[in-house]
Amino acid sequence: MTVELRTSSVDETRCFGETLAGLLSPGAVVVLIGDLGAGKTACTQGIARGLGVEDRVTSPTFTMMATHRADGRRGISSFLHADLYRVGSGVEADDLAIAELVEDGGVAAVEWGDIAPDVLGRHRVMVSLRFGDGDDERLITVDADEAMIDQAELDSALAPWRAS
Amino acid sequence: MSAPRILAIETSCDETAAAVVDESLHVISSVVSSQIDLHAHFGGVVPEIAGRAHVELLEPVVAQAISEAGGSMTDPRIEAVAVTNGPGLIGSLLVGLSGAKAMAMAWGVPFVGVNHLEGHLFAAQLEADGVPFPHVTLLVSGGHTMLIAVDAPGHYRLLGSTIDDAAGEAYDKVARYLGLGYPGGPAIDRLARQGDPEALRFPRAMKDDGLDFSFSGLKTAVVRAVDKNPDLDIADVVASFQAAVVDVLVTKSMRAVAMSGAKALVLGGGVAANSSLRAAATVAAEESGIPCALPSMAMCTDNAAMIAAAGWYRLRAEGGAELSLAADPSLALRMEVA
Repeated sequence: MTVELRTSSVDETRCFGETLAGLLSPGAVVVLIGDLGAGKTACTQGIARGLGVEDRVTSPTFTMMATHRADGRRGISSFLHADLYRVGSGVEADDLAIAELVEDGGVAAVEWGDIAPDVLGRHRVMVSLRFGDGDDERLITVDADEAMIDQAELDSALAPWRAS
Repeated sequence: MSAPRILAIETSCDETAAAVVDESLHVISSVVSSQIDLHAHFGGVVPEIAGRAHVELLEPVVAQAISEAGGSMTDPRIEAVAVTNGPGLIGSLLVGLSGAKAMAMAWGVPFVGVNHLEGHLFAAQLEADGVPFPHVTLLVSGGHTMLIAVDAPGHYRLLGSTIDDAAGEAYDKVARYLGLGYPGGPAIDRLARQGDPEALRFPRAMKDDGLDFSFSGLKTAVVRAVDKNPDLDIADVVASFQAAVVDVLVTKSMRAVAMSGAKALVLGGGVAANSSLRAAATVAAEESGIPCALPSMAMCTDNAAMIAAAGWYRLRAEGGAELSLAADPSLALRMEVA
């Protein structure tokens, strides 16, 4: 199931992430795909906000992974932020054991996750971000497993950004 | 009898380093084995490759540091072992930490864990005689961008930090995007000299606002500018990019100096090796009538001598660590309330 969206500022991309977080349940892995500057980190910051993370969420490119405490809403107690920008192959991504790490009440967001989608577990939400026409416009495609997120719920929650 | 000496080991990222430093902070030996060639192909450090390389390099690098200081692995002539236990890549940290514990046990000397960031804060003390306290250190690297008030050795207050990308990360990502290779900092620094820093006006995010930094928007602006106009002179693009980074870093550093009443500005971390940042910081500090301490290039980038300096401080302040000390990839630097 796919939804096409459009945002017109970094703040809006963040708000989209925050709303998306409200649809996630424990074990979900959000895979973020997009070019440099497309808004992956902004979207991730929104997801963190939507999970009640109080830490400052910055790019984890240097350390590959950062774990934050979530406030427990909807049973989600932790938020794992990973970045595969520098990972060479799926084998290395597998070493990060992201799927195992989110099993216990966690949710993960994986930037540059298209390098190794297969190792990221079954409960995936794919979010791809592309540059739009204006400097700040972004076109976002959300692809979620229907077993994970109810279609009607997804449609109505993300309606504000639906691309016409 | 020479002054007591400490052996320090640093393996938090992609440099395997060891140094011997005496208690007056004289560097007796400092060996750094870089893995840049191993990682250049990937445009950044690959954790698995880094961990394996540290395993191969640790013993020869330590042996060389000890031998240059007149000792041997069986008679090292050192009083303690210091080692970085975070922050950094977990697989890399573990190699140095395990090695340091084993050596300390074998030699029957105390062992002390050091925060990598505290090492950078001590780097200037190794070279410049008497950087006055309190001072402000701008710590800029691939993983960090922070303004820290150093009130006294071991007493730190965080004044500001990045809300998204580190400055060095922006350099690496822009360089990779433009096909300039890795590491991005030196490549951009060199090419920028041939470009016009005013050719393009890139955003200076949050420049007039507080002491935090944001470099994500700048990175995006560079990508967008080149996408829209592929004929742009790349030298102009990187010169303008660098001008924006340096402008923000120096403006905020001087604001931090003014707000905290610091008696000096100190640069640290890999980005502090950038020639444009060094020049601009020196001029700005001079205009404010304070000294600007610039560690040598070798002391800006990762090395073990700075870990030794911080290790001496921690050993005196707290004594040795337990051998159960763990590596912590996101180890925070202990700050006092700002």
